[in-house]
Amino acid sequence: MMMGVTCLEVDRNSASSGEVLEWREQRWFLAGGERVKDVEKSGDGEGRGVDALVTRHDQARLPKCNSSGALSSYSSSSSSTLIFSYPAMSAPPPSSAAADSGIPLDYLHDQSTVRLIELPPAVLSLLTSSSTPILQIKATTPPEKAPTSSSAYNAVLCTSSQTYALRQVSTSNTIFLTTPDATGQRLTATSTITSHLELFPNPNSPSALLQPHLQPYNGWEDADIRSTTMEDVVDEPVTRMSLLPELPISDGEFTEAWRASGAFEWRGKIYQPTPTVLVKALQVIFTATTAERLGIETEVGVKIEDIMKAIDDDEVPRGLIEGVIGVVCDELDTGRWKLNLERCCKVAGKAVLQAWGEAHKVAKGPSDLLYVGFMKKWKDAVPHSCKGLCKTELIEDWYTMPTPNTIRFNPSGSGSPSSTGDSTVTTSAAFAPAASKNKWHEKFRKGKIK
Amino acid sequence: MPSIPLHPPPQPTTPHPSPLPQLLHTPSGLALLEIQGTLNISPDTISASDADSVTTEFGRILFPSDEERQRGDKRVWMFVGKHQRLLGKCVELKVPMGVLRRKKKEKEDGEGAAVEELEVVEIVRWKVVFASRPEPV
Repeated sequence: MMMGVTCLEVDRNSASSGEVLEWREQRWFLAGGERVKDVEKSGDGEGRGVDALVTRHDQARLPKCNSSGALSSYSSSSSSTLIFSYPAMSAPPPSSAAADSGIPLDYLHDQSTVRLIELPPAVLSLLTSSSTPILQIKATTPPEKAPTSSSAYNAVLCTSSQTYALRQVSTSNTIFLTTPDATGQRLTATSTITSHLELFPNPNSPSALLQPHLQPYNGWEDADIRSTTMEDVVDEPVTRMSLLPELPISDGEFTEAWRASGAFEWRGKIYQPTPTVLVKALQVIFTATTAERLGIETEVGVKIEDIMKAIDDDEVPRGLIEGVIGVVCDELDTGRWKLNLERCCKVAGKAVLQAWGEAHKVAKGPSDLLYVGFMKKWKDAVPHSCKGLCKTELIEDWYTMPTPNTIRFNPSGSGSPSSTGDSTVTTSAAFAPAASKNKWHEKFRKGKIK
Repeated sequence: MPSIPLHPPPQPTTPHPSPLPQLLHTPSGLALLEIQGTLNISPDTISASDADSVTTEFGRILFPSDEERQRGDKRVWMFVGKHQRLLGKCVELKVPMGVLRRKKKEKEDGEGAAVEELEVVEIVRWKVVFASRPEPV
């Protein structure tokens, strides 16, 4: 019988006895008491064999020979220099009689493939709880030209509300998965594992992943939008349900990012209202709710159907209203919507400022708005009861004041304006600022928690 | 790319009988043995074979007896072949590991599409590590 253990690494601290051999990789073999010589596959291609048990001090250089056919496994991962040493025996070894009394270990030749995956406490509790939800492993298929190094295309593990990125960690050690036989007397190594999956927090923000899929919606009066029909959609229509499996984020994070972006489905595509349209839609909604005395600010809330009925303009798509309501309102348990005053003020303030900045772009750079004019526009955009909340602290990250009397939209708070539908975010370098660029979603979330 | 569902471990039934010490027990009996190196087994040395499994007995593992454990002796020995011995110990994993396996299809659904599904068959919290080099016996 021919078997043995190849030792790849030894604690250097134990190199105390002075008997030090230096090998790149050393194989320990024994065949019925005979020496078995084995080839080392080192970087220089020179075969060196060793019989560790009999002549362990010999650094015998042997002629190059073929790898022994008796090998059933071989690790070529080790290329660094390892030091082997022979410290003095520190404890009395068990007798050979004791060796016979141990649990017999069997090696199954038909090894099965398993993976080990790290389970952080949150995932572990999901797996062990009685109401066991199904976890998912997701990944986005990268476009052909996308750099493969981008973290956006790595596989992730999703719970219902959290996302973990997956990383494969290899080890030079060998891990056997053993299973007892039916009688519980023997152990069989059914799988050999040399790597495991590690979980770490997802580096990609959900809104940054969603953003490239959103088209800018320029309003129901926009010529391009009006001329868009279902026939224009060449490929499969993109819907919320078709997008969800494509994005490497959990369902919960997707829903939240979708809500915060105001995205909606319309004629086979997914749109996000531009700041101008957002302000306009808010006005339409608040005019309608005021005229019909719908209690959008009360605890009872309103139904989207009622708002739609109250809106005069038939051309306003329901999706847009739903999207905008989702941005500024909280959904109640009854399925009705209640206005979140602070969030509404934030969204409106930012949109007013951004819309003005986009409409009045000058060649030299961003243009400024008179502070007084901005405050008036802002207060006009929100319901009467919100007017008192309109303070510039609410939109802190989104403005700069070049002079004491003027105010300017600060895109660095958002990176590129979220409404441009910029879909060129492909590199991981572009993703790093993207994480901070859509911070306003996070800001809303903070506001919501309050 | 479609997402792959990851099923939780099946509800624990009666624990599988296991020769391992209580510390290493898991409901399904699966355990992890780690050696710092590679095990080499000749494929033509078969010690037992039946219809669905071909196995080779490559060694034995010896855990300390209760008496020895009380004296503080926690060494675990693994004998490989007849002439090698490895010293190891039981180590608690920093993060519990799930053993992931392709889920066996219980029944063919009507569509017959091969949907790949994974399942965590076991959650392991301890392993036996043999971090020392092999010693001659």
